[in-house]
Order: sequence, then C-alpha cells, then structure tokens
Amino acid sequence: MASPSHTRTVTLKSCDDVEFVLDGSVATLSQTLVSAMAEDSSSSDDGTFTWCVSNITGEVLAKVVEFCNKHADISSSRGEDLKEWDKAFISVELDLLYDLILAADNLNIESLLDLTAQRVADEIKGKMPHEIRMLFNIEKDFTDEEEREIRREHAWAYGGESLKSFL
Amino acid sequence: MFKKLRGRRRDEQERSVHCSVVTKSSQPHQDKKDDISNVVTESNQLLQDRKEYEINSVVTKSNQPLQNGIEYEIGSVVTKSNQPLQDGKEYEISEEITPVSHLPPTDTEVSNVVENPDAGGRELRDWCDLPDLVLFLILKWLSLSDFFAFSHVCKEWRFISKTVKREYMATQPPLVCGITSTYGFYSWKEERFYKKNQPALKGRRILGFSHGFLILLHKSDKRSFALVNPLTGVEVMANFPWFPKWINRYAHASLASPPTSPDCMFLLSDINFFCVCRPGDLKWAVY
Repeated sequence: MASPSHTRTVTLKSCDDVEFVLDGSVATLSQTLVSAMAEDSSSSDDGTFTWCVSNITGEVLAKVVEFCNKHADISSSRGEDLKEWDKAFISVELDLLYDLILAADNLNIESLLDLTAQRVADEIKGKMPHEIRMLFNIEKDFTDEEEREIRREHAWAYGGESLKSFL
Repeated sequence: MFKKLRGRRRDEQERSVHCSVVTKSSQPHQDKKDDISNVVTESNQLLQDRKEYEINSVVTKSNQPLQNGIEYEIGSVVTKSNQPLQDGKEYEISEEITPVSHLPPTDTEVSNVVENPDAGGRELRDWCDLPDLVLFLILKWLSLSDFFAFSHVCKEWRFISKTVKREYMATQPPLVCGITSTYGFYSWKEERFYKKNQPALKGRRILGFSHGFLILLHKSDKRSFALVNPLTGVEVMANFPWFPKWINRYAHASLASPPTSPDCMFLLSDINFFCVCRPGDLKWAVY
C-alpha cells in the first residue's frame, strides 16, 4: 500500500530531463500528482515517486516548483505578503505565462491556474477585441455574418456611458 | 475628386484606436497630386486583421513627396480624411480598400513567434486554444465590457463566453438598475452605465435584483412575478407561490441565494409586511 503522500518525496522530470525533488506536502498542490501517487504502489518502499511531465520544459517546471514551494509553506502563505509575492511571480513574459498555464493545467494546480488566469484577465482589461487579438497573436476567424451578429448583440455594451453623463 | 470614407464604421471612428499602421509607397512620388498608387496600409476595419490593403489613390495635400520605400506609422484609424499622419502630412483616401496579403510580422510579433529553443521546437503559442477551464477562470475576472471584448476575439473564446453568459451576471457586483423607462447596468468597477433594451420589462415593474436575476412584478396582475436574467433575457421558472394579494407598490424583493439552489429563500417586503418563502412552499410566511 502506498504511504501517505506527505511522507514521500516526489521527483518531477521535465521533457528535457531536468529533475526537481519536491517534498510530498508540496506535491499535494497538484491534483494530478495526488491521484498519480494514490494509484501508484510500486515505489512505496523507498518513499520516492517519480513523475515525468512530457510537455513541460525545465525552465517552466522550475517556476512551477518555485510556486508550489512558496504556497505549500504555511508560515509564508498568509495574506498580503503572499499576494505581493504572487504578483511578482506572475509578472512574466506572455510566452512564459502561456507555458505556465499549460503546466498548471497539466499538473492541475488550482492556485496557479487562478493566478495565471487573473494575469491574462489583467492583460485583457480595458482593451478592444482587436487589441486583444494583436497582443496574443490571435487570428480573427469570424465570418462577416458572425461579425455582424456580434456587433448587433454587443451594440448596447459598447454604448456604455458614465453614470454622470446619464444622470 | 476624392470620395471620402466618411460614414464608414462611424461607431468605431469615435474610439481612439491606437495601433501602428504601416504605409509604404512602392513608387516614388512625382510631385503630382494624384499620382501615387499602390500605397499599402493596413486594414481599414479597425486595423485588426493584420492584412495589407491596397489603396489606389492616396493624395498628399501638402505636396510633400512620398519617398519610395519609406514606412509611415499612423497613430489613428485611416477612415477619416484629413487625418494627419505622424509625419505631419495629410492624406485623403479614396475608393474601396481591398485586402492584398498578410503583412510580415513586425519585430515584436517575431519575438512572440520565435520558438523557444528550450521548448524543443514547439510551435508558437496558440492563445485562442487555451484549455476551457482556463478560459472560464479568465472570464471570472472580467468586467462587463471586457466580457464582451473577450467574446469578440475569436470563435473559441466566443463559444466559451456564450456558455457562461447565463451565470455571468451572478458573479458581478450588484450593477443592475432600472430608472423609469431607461433600464441598464451600472458597473461599479468601470463607473459606466450600460443601457440595454429589456423586452421582459414590458408591463412589469422591477422589485429587485439578486444573484444575477431581475425580480419582476406584473403591473396588471399583482400576484404573478418573474425571474429574468437581464443579460440573456431568459426567464427562469421557479417553484414559488404567488405573491400575497396585499402586495402594494412599495414592495421590494430579493433572493437569499440563486433560485435554482435548494436553500434559496425569497424575501418580500413592503411598508407593512415582511414575508419569506422557500421553493416548493405553498404560501408565504408573513412577519
């Protein structure tokens, strides 16, 4: 029978063969690791568990591990300090942000998913659709008809006024 | 001589859109007013599709020659005539603008597209195709206007936003209001008021707004009410008793939790009474 996850150490291996050793309690932030460890009973004797993440590079995985270590550390995971830390942590280039999103999704780390989503939302805020497309390098794939339909649907939203001018 | 593009996409001209447009003259200007052809600029359509467009006759009013191969950055949409470019020259654009081909990526775009050497030749990052869960999480952080901008980005994002449209209002701070004939949303975050035509309001009066639902009372039948999602206009059927018959025009109503939730409680009050009921109740408990 597998030993409880918090007593084991977990070795995470990136797709370019960089290895990270995590404390069991840190690994529990990842639901993917939690279920993988629960299913695994083979390596329970020596208390280690190795997990290969096929599509995450060492560079990205290092960031993920940094995040997990910080968030699993109960003494530091409180209030404003952690918020500040998160803010600094997620101030990364969009490319790395994208990779972090996929890594957080792959490893199913809820708090990292939330943080990355918030950062993307911050990028979107206050921008027009074409500006968002330009920022994220997204191709516009609407047909003319869809485009008209959206404009019809959204006309009222784009016509927003400040309350002052309304009153 | 020049057909100005006035009147096109007027709704968008109002917004100051700042994007860089590259115009290139492929032919030296011969100091004639109307002799430049093949000046290439970006889309007139809000400059959002990154395509090159050919403009057949661009005329510089200032008589300054366009130099072959020089690129101009234009700070505003080129659908208005007499709009000064950043180089101080004025152009009038006539006739239709037709797409030609895609612009090569600019320097900043290239840096996005460049493959990460560590990624082992991974393809460029497709933001459109983010995991659904992540897109849902992103929407959670967006205000109303950002929500609409999000749903106007690409098909995938539109699909996601459509699926959460029903729940979206409930995640927002109370921002709905009805002021006599005008009805709309006020967004605290943005300090903006949105007017929206609300067919469900016809012949009904707003008693309250909770958990993303408008509580509406029929003006003619004072005992029947409706719960309506103001964003979709969809009416929700909820298993509540009819209003007590003494209901008067001072009545105000609210929901303690979403109407679909089993522990929902409907609160109704006017100047004399306060009453509550739960889904499935046959009558109101009056206090």
